[in-house]
Amino acid sequence: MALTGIQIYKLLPQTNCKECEFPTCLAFAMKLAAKQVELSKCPYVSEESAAKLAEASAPPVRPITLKSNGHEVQGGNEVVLFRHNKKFFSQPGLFIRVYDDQPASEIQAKVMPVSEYVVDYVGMDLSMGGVAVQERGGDFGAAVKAVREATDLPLILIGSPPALKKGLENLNENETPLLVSATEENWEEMAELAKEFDVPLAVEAGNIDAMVALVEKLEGKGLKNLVLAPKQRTMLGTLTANTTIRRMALKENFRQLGFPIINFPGDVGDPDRELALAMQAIGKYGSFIVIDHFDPATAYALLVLRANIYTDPQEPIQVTPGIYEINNPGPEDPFLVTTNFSITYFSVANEVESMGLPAWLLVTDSEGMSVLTAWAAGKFDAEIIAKDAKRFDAADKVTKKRIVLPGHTAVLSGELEEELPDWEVKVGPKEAVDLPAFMKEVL
Amino acid sequence: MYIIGENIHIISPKVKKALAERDAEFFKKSAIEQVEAGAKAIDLNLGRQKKEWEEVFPWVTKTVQEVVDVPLCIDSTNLEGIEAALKVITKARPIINSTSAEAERLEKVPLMAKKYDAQLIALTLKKEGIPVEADERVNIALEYLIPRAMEVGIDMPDLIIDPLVLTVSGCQEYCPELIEAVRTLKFAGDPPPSISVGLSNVSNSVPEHSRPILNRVYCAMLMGAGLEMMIADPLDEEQNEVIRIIQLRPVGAVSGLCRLRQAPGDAFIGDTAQILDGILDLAAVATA
Repeated sequence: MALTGIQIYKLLPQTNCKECEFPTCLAFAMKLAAKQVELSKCPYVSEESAAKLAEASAPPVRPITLKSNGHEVQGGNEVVLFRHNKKFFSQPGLFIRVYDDQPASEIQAKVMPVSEYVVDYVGMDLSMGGVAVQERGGDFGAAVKAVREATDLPLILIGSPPALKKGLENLNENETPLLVSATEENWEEMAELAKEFDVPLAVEAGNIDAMVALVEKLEGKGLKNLVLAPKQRTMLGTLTANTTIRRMALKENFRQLGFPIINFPGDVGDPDRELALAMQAIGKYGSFIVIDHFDPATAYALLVLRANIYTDPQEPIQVTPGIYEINNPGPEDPFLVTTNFSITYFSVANEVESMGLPAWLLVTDSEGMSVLTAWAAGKFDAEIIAKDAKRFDAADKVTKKRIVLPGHTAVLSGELEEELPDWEVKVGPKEAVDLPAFMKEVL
Repeated sequence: MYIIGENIHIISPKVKKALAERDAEFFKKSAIEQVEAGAKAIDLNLGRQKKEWEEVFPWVTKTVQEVVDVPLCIDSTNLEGIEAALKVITKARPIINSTSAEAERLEKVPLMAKKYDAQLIALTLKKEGIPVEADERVNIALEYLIPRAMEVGIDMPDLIIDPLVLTVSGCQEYCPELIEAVRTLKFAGDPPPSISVGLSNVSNSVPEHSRPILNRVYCAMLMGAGLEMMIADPLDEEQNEVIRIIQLRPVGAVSGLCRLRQAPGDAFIGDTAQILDGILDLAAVATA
């Protein structure tokens, strides 16, 4: 757990000598806690304190990044158990798995759609993490080559040391795949391989003690970039393993478990159970998630879930306030009003777009709050609507001045009529889904 | 413990009625009673008074000033109202309650404090709202409140940082954060700024009968972290008894509750850990 300002202060000389250019040792300690200054700026800190501070300032969950040709998937770098305490930082990667006993054509047929898959969700592009190649009695090197011809997404190589070595030889140096995994039996060989190619290594164990013992052995060999691979495959098993690992790392600052986690929902076979396990892994600390079945529908569900969990709860996703033209509106078409919370904006915009009728959409600056929340917080009222209508010159765009309020804020219509005297104010439906019917009949 | 008496507060129906009727005796009696109970200053919370501030603020200030000599703490968000009150202060140095780290208030209020040589309560609060983590509150003091006070020429002891008590009903997990903020702010300057809190906020929206016990316990914990000033109800005798006992125990000894009282008047440096150790010692003795 990162040290607080006062804990750091107690390790400093507490003389307020100002040589670090801060008025007090506490001010310097606060900057250290926020990682905005180097400890070296204080010439008088003791050896012992410096060691303690260095150890405490290392991230409790080590960031591990898989790289390839401009693509990256990062795990780790997390500081809280629950997103609402601050936020989750490293979005997990979904990896589709192929096997080295499958012919190249079958491998590429499976990998291509995954590699090209991208979809827009409230202004964010969602895509898959990469590909996992698993040894199963075939030619591992050839399988990796086949995958590389179909995609340049990051890779996870699963198999025995000799197979992995062949796979690694087919990759260029600036790629960083993940090797899966070191076990009680093969950890020495795997350690050599990971060190030789300088790539992160997954550590597989069936329980926490075995996991810690194996991590310590690998760290003894000088390995630092590790990923933890709990062997459990049931819902409860993976939930318990993932949570215990992350809680020990964050709450107890337990170094040997301070690494990202890889989960294998694909191992269960049945696509529905695989989907459930993948969803649980996204919510509960999985960083690299290996699945065997891919289709756009389930991928969309998983990636939207990931987006919702890994966005910053304090920062509502916002769109820029302004006037948005839908189905290229003309001077006769009406103005609809909504707020700049992206999910609000997209639900209104998508409804209006899908029905084909043209409309102007005035999006007010409501600090990213939805209609009702913004209205309750005084960030969506007649004054703000009128101000933004004038700011974005709404009047110049239309001859027939009609403006439609969201149904939930019908109470504003009177005031809005005062604010915009030469506009006809109408009250629209409460839900965006009723907009098409409303626009056809009323407007 | 320097208590700023909180009983003249506009949200209390009796105060609102007395103000509407310009019942001077009510305010005098309340002020006298608070000072006699040990209040070292009197908070005058009259709310915004959007329409009548020009008359109301000076009137209450003069009325109370006639009968007590302690500093008056002008508590409002209406800056003009505060200034109107400050103009009629003739006795002790007043206290302004309050500025925050919000740009506009941080710009104006410290200047007013300097102009009228008043002490200034400064809340660790920015536009985005109240931070919960101790370090965030301390950072607001270090990066906004203290530099601005220095810039305007306010001495550190006259700057009273308030890291904002949150209520246990709904924000229970943040109550320890406030204690840590108080403990940390003791080192926030050279000499350090003063620190104060609105104690009774800890029991906001808690059933009436259990508010006093919550206030007292939190007060003891805050004194353990070194708190020496607070806005509270000076008429709460049990609270005052807790303060008296804590203040009587000498440095390093267990809280007075656990050992025979030593000589009165010993200086005290409180630390929750010491109090806990004391209780453990007591438990050990009891079970030996």
